[in-house]
Amino acid sequence: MLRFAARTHPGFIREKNEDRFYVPTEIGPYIFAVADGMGGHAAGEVASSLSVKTLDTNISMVSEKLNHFDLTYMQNFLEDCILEANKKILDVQDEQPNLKGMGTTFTVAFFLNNELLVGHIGDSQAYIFYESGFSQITEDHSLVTELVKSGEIKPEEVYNHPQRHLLTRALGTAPLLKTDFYVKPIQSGNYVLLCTDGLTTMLRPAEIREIIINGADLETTADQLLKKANDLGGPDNITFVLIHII
Amino acid sequence: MEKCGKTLGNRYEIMEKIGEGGMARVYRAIDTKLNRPVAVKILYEQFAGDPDFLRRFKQEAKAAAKLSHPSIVNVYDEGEEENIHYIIMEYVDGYTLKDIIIRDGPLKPEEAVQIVLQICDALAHAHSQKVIHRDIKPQNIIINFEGRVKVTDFGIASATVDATITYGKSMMGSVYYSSPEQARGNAADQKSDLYSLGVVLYEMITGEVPFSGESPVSIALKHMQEEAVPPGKLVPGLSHALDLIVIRVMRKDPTLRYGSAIEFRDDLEGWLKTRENGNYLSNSLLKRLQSYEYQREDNDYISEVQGRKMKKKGFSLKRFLIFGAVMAVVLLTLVIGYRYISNFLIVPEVTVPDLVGLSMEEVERELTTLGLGYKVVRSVNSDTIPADSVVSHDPPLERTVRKERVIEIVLSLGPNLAEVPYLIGRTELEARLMLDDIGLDIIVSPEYNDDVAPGYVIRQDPGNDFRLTRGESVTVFVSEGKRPFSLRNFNGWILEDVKEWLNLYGLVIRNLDDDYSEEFAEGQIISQYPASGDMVQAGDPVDLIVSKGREPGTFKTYPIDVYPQVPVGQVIKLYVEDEEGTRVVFEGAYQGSIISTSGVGSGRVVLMELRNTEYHIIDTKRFP
Repeated sequence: MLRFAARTHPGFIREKNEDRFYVPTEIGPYIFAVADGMGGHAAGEVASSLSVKTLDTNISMVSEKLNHFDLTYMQNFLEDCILEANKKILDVQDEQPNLKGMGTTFTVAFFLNNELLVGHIGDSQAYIFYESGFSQITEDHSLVTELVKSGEIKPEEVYNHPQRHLLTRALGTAPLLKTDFYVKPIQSGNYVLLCTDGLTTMLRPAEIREIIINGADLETTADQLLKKANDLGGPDNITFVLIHII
Repeated sequence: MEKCGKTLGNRYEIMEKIGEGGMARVYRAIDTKLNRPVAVKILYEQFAGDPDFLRRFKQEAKAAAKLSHPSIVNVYDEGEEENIHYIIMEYVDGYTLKDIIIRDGPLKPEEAVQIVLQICDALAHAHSQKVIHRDIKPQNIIINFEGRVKVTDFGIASATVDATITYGKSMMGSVYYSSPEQARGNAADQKSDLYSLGVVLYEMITGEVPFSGESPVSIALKHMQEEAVPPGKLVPGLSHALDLIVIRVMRKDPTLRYGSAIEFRDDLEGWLKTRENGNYLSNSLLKRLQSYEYQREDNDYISEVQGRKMKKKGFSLKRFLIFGAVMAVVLLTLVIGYRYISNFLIVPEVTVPDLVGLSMEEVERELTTLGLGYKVVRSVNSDTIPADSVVSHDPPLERTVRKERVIEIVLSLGPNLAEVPYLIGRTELEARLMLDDIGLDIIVSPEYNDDVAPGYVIRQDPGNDFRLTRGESVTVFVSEGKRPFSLRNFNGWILEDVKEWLNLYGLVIRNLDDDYSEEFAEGQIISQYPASGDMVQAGDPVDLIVSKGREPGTFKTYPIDVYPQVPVGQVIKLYVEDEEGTRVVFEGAYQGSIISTSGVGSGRVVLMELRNTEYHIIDTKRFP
């Protein structure tokens, strides 16, 4: 059993909100996603909406098979959704050259019993917050992450690096994409957060955990997270889905 | 958007599109006022909406317009009309350097250098005006039909970088020519332009860029971490001096590169002069080149040059042996003489002092005052006595000895510590042997790693600057290969797509078979091994079976249920017409139940009832 709260906000600097999210319908499987579009001139929101719509359409086509889902099936299913969305975003760019260069991140989570499956492309993130700490599930597909991994820069330099916006993988940028999948055990009391980088460039995971653990209820916590990130400047779109396993 | 035929600023008539970049399209146009051809760069629409970007774009255009040099594409004007933002530039009729390299492959070194000389002039001028190009690459270098080299797009790159910050994310682009400092995210300066120009020179000489890879990230990391293969290794017979010039201009550390475009130019020019006079290198150039060599730490060429010098200083083995033999005779005589004499002398006695913990200088001082001799007999490890101090001596303290007695001293080697060696990049076995050699234990901790080959050490704890007491252990983290992942289901995919997918995930096809399939069309995957959901690692083989369509002459069998809408007891006849022909499957009185039969391929089931001795069709059902 789980509860969730989702928020999306353009922030105070950007004109448009290029972020999108997906949360399950009342009967739907426990699938959640966030997408952060990129590309100027409204292209970003086209890409992120396409990705979320593709997921939605595919879920509604198979929701009667709900009982047959297992993690392997779902991993195939989610990867197919991602590849289909990728193709759609590429097709649209072929048809409309002014949308060239658009793309989107995509981080999707599926909950089944005591396991969590996460599929991931780009620099949005998925975290698990525990009573005693947190762990970041996903690894960003960004230049700065690679620079940290190779020891060229220190982890704390990431937040102010001039090239932190450069992605190494995103939907809509190559004919075929590798999706990273992660399977994590979860248990009652855990919180799972899917978020775009608008949240995490403003709030460090430890601060997010602080707010979540001390939060009164999920909706208030979500409001607090959004407010805190915006109070710190809100330079980017902020989108997240917070899921509480109970 | 079609802009041909349009006139901008009431003056520039657009003729045809001649190029497309990351930020703008370029057209050939006619300046109707001066009646000359110009190039018009029109910003993509998506940038036109951002005032911040436009401000920077204009700023850069203005900075570039300040530059006036025969090797720089002149910027004449910039303007805006109906939300079209444009720059008017000198029209250069020629080829980009990229075109030339693609078409002709490597250039003659002399040609390449002559081109680079002109680019150096352009950079020297721009740098003197505090304009950094930031994006020197063959695509930005045009050579006109008179052989004049023209560099274009000064400073535009920085406007784009700023724009992506405003606009948020973008995909990382190619970085074949980017300097290590730019790749790392530091500000570009004139030395960054020199590095990029060095890469261009490298590519002209060898026909390939120094660093390539499967992704922009891997290329960027190579710029930061890997030494380029010296051009001389790729081009047999390439002038050694030119090799050194290229190596220097491409040094990772900007302070080790040429100080300015002019310095770089001077060396190239010096080199070129030597080419015209045959193979003779000018003295000053040679000296400078040698000084570059000494700055390099790990270059093949150093050893080459130093090796030659070593030979001159060489010594004669014969002379050494004669000298040694003479000295040995002299020493032996002295020792024997001394022993012989001292034994026969009556000497006063002294008490041996406590020498433990003293250094050799202190021992020397102490014993000389007492009139005692000493000699170091061996060295041992000690956890308490620092290295090179006395651990023990014989005779020990307070013993009374005759003067001139030789005290035998045991020196400390310091604690029994072993310096942890650098194990990263070694195989597990090598690491084990290296640690074993120095008396340290090994703890192997396997982990997955995408970059390090299986069996090799990824990292170690403690690191190589630590000292451990012998018997302690070092943990080495050994790669088990790439992180395993669950293989997806390929049923129904076409082979080409699967190949691409497998390639992306680093898997390889082992067996590829085909088979007939009822379910999957020709070219689609029927089955796979490992199965969907099985865990695999990059490098693992995958077997696939591809459908070659339905087996000729075989057809799928479809189960068919028939519910005759007739009263029980009515005589009916049911027959199937399909690929196997026509056959009666039921005939007789209806029993009131479903009649199950089957059809092969396609066809129909016909139900008839008996009326007045004649069967009449009452129902037909087609399949599939």
